[in-house]
Formats: sequence, C-alpha cells, structure tokens
Amino acid sequence: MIRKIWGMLGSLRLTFWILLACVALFFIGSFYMGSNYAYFDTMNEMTLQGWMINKGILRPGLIWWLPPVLIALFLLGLNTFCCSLKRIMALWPTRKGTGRRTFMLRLSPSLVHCFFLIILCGHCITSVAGSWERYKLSEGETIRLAGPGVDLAVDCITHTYYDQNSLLYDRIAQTTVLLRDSADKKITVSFLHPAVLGSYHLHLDMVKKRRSGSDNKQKPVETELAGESCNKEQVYKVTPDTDKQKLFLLVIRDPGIYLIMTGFVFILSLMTWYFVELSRAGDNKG
Amino acid sequence: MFATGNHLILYVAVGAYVVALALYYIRIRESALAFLLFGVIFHILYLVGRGWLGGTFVANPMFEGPYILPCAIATITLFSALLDHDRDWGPLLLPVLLASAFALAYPRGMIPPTPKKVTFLANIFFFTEVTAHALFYSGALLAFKSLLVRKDTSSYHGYLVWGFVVFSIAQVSGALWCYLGWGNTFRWSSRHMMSAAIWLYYAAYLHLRFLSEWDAKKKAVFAAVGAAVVFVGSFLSNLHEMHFPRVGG
Repeated sequence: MIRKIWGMLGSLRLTFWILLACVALFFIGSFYMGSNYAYFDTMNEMTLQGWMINKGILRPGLIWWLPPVLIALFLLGLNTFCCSLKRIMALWPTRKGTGRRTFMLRLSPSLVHCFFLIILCGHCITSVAGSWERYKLSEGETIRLAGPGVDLAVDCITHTYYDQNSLLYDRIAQTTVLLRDSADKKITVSFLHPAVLGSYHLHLDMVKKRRSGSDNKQKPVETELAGESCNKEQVYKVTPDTDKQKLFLLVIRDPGIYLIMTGFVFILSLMTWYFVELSRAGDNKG
Repeated sequence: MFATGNHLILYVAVGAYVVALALYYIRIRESALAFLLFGVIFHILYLVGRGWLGGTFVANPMFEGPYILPCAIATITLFSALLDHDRDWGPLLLPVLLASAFALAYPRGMIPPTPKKVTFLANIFFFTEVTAHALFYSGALLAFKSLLVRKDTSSYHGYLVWGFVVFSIAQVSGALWCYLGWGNTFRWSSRHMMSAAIWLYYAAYLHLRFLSEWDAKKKAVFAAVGAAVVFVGSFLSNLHEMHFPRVGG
C-alpha cells in the first residue's frame, strides 16, 4: 500500500497533470485579480490565513479558485519531493562508476527540483508568517513601529524631479526619507533602496488617495485603493492638489526571503549549467 | 542621437523585414539574410532612440514589450540562420511581421516611469521576459510547421528549452525588483499570476519528454499551443497598457 502511494506520489504523470492544473488555476485567478484589483491587492500586505479570514470569506464567489491553487501547489511540492528523492536514490549508487562531471550532470535536474522546493517553502513561510505594517510619513513627526517596537523620527523628506526641460518635469524621480531612531542613529530610505532594521525591511510607498481616520496606525489598504489600477504613474505626478499624494513607510518582516533568494541563485546557476552542458554534449555527438 | 523619437526608423526596420521575407520566398536567401540584419540593426537603433522619448534619458521605454518583441524574434531568426545554414528560417519572419504590425499600431509615447520602475532590474526583467516570449513563439511556430509537413522533427525543442531558461531569469530578476520596490517577491496580481502560469506551462512541457504516451506529434501540439498561452498571458497586458497616459512620441 505504502509502496503504491509512494509510486503514485513520485509519478511524473502526476507532475504533468498537477502542473497543467496549476496553469489553469493561475489563469483563472489572474482574470479574477485583473477585474478586482483593489480587493486582491490587500493580499499583499496580510498573511494568507489572515486575509482568508478577514477578506476572502466575505466574497467566496471571487476566491473559489484560491483553495484549489493552494492544494495544487502543495501537491506539486509533495510530488517534487518524492520524484527528486526517488531519482537521487537511484543515482547515488552510480556515483563511483561514472565521472564526477557526468554524475553532476545527471544529478543537477534533481538539485534544481530541490531548490524549487526550497523556493516553494520560502513562499509558504512568507505567506503564513510574514508581517506587513504601513505608516504615513510626515516631516517632523515621530512614528511608533509596532513590529520592531521602535520610535522613528521623520527628519527630512526630499523629492527629486526630472529635468525641468524634459517632458517628465512634473514627475517625482526619487524620494529620500531621513529617519532617526531614539539612539540618534540615522536611517535613510528611498524608493528601491530599502533600509534594514533588525529583522525588518523598511520600504517607501506612495499613494494618492485620502485615508480616513488616524494616519499613524497600521490599517487595511483596500479602502484607500478603491478605484485604483496597477498603473501608478499618476501617483508620482505633481499636481496642485498635492495633499492627496501621501508617502508611506512599509515595515516588512519576510522570514521566507532568504530561502527564496538562495533558491533563485542555485536554480538559475544549475539550470543554465545543465542546459549548456547538454547543448555541448549534443554538439559533440553531432 | 539621430534616432531620438524617430519613428521613421521603425518603419525602415519593418520594411527591411518585409523585403527579407519576399527575398526568402523567391529563394534569394543571402540577400534576405542581409535585409534581415539591416532590419535588426535599424530596429535596435529605434529602441535605443526610445530612451530619449521623454526629453531626458530613461531606459524603460527601450524595453517596452510590443516594440522589443519583433526585434527579439528577428534577432533569434538571424542567429538561427547564421548558426545553421540549412535551417528553414523563413517561417520565423511571419511572427516578426505580425509583431511589427502591432508595434506600428501601438501608442508611440512612453509611460512615465514611477520611481519604483527606474532600475536596471526592471530593464533586465522586461528584456529577458520578451526574449523568452520570442523564443516561445518561434518554437511554437516551428512545432506547428512540423505538424503541417507531418515530419517528425524536434527542431523547436531548443527554442523552448532556452525560452524556459531565459524566462526563469526574467522571473528571478522580476522577483528581486519586486522585493526592492514593493517588499514582496511575488505579488498577488494579475500580471504575476499570468507569468507564473506561463512558467508552469513550459515546466510541464519540459517534463513531457519523460512521458512515453506522449509521442512526437502530441508534443508538437503541446508546444504549438504554448504560443496561445504566451499570447493570452502577455498580449492582454499589452492591450491594457495601450490606455495608460503617455508622454512624448
């Protein structure tokens, strides 16, 4: 019985059909997300379980495809683990009979699968155990970051613009925020240049919608994103109505990031090496 | 920069592709190749010129999908022809012309970049993503051709394998960019879901060679259908972006 289950879980036929199921489900999800941008965008600043309980459950008609996606990804992970283990167990006894290079060439697809698993685990950890906080930034004010438990004074916010003679003259090219903690340590954050604060990363974000209630608290983002789309170019355009343009500090703890990055580096290196070696072998054969 | 914002250069490039196709089918292949090279050079010049559309240099418009796709397919065709003189590369000019026609109809200006988009990672992402799409389309076309001539050929396989590798590079650079800009390596958004669907489709294709019940014909059908997956996954996004406000051009 166990052998039968092992054989089924480690079957390549199963891999293929799970992959196709994922393709179909991701496509379906993509269409739902495209037409409900504000609703689904809140998923990016909440844990998956938190989002499902607080938001997802309210509109089951829009998220029916999400549990099957998660099940399919879990099955894909399980199947990848079984297939890789089977292959490595079959290859290992042959390591002395073949040269090291040939052995590595045969082993590398399994290693690629192992790193794919590591990436999947990283995403899973991020989705389940990550934390996202958002604070409005105003010059001269102090914000209390709940996660890291520190106070940060917002010393200076500087916007730089494109050349006055260009067509982009009214656009923000970069924003730099100078923060200071209680020990007077200075922290600089700008777009694409997050700062590190312990296990947290500090990112900048800008929105052009008015927030309701107190600004200095962590809040859901769906209401302020209502009516927005993925195109944010208008957010960074300077208009006379500047009070609508608000700068936020995203305080993110992503425990899966290091697994994901490690997986990326190894998967790309191994995959490229494998296919280059295969092409060479093909050329030599020809 | 003489190519700055000069759309005439794009017309010259597309004209060269048309002549290359005509010459290929009247069997003057050396000249066809020369025109193809001419077209690619002018197309690259046009893309470089797009960097100055806003009146100051910003690299992002150089890597806009609809403009770079025909150039990528043409470059792949050129390399295919140069690496294998016997290869029937003429059919690959058809997607070059189709993509060129779309580029000519596409809005000319640039989408003003937000500060989160001005990074070399974004440029690497768009460049590798479109190059991968070009490889997928080329592979799909050759797979379709192998079905038409009922010949058991797997000449398309290499295009799809390298397409997958380049697409993986795009996903990694995209994830890094996304983390730096938004704080997530994967965002729950339509764009990311589509990219994941395309990646998974070609991952499924790579596993096909180990399934004995999938013969050469079925594999070719799967490879050809991949073009539709890529088309839906990327073209809808291009159509959506046609309505974004633009400057220049």
